Amino acid sequence: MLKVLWWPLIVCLVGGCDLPRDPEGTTNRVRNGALRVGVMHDPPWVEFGSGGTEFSGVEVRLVRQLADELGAEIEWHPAGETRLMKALQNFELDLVIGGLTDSSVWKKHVALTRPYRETQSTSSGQGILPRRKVGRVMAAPPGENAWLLTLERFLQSKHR
Amino acid sequence: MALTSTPRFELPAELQGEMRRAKRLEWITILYLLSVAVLMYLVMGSSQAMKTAWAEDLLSLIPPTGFLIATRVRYREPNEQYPYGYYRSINVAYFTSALALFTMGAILLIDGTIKLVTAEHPTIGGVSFFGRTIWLGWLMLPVLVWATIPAWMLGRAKLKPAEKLHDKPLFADAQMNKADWMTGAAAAAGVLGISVGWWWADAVAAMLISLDILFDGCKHVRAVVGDLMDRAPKSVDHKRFLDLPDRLAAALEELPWVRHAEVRLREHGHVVFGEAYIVPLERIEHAAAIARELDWRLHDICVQLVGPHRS
Repeated sequence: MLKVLWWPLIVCLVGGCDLPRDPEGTTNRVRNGALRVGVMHDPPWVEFGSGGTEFSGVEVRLVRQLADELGAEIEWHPAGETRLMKALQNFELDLVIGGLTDSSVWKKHVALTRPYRETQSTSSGQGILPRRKVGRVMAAPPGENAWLLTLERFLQSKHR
Repeated sequence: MALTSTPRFELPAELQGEMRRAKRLEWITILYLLSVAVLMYLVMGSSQAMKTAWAEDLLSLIPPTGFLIATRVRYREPNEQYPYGYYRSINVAYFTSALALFTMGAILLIDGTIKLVTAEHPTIGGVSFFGRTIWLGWLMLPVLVWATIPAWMLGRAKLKPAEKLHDKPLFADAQMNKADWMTGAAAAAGVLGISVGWWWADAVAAMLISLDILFDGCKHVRAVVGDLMDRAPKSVDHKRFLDLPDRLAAALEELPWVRHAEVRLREHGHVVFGEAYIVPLERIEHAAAIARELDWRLHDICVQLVGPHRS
């Protein structure tokens, strides 16, 4: 019985350098390639400029830094939340930003990073529950675990 | 009530030590399974295989809990409400766990199939570990080892008392613990599959684990339903019928005054209840013939055997 347990450990050690991998190969495609980012208007995280093609904000700055580190060129895709999330689910986008929180209803459909920052909730509390602190997150395609790990490591390094 | 209540049963002295050992092992099992449940909950993420393994772990808490509760109840003094005693309580506990296994196995199988068919890619991200972000999947593997190896050891330790005590629920529990290594291996294979990019490995592993739970549930439900329906006694692993009724009949037939004996038995947990039907030798018929020929008026005489109470 113990024999069965040894080989997985060996696989880990031998192939561990590039594990885990993305089923849809997102990380490899984005590195030195194109980074397709879906954006939603939610100041101060993402602010749409007057022409609708210029973007600024906390999360926009972070994404630009990320693209620099990965050698990727950003493609901005402004749209509403539902359309962006559906596109993310179908692997048509690599990242969605716009003031998402860790209590987002999309957490069962796409991959949310761990919170990179804690802020006060902008909405009032529910019923008698007080306003809570929420964690700010970014969204990645579901199951792209290497990509998610890359994002999380980047975000943790920026907000120590 | 002294005549109609079944007498109180006491385990023979040499088996009382085994019973104490069994109880101690079941307490250890419960504490161990709780630790596994907590650890697994912390690392399971959204892996279907891990969720299924966690469910199986929680289900495994029912047999030892049922055993410990039933052990307090089963040796109570039989009374007017329960003239046959409380010995069947252990089978009730066994039935509950078997049914729970069957139901959960079915639910998890359906759940896993849906995940596979809708091509849900399991997301497993990173976690902060001593300052660095590492992949949660790498934490799942040591937890699975902790969930597997002690379970196998506990299962093996419980098999001996179960056989000596002829305790079927304890035996079934021990077998399930011993087979836990398959669940751990399947879940680990699922996690490793995800790590190389095979998203479907998770759902497939979950389905295999749930099939195993389902079959276990089926097997145990059939076994315990038979016991509750007064089936003839079977061996502790339910593989063969015991020769206890035949041995008892043979022992009775060795008596000089017995021509033929037939026995039927049923199990109430450890304890066996039953009836022995005896056809006595020609002496009775001889006595009846002598009675009838004594006088021309003696016609229908019934000669009856009585027990010592009436003398």
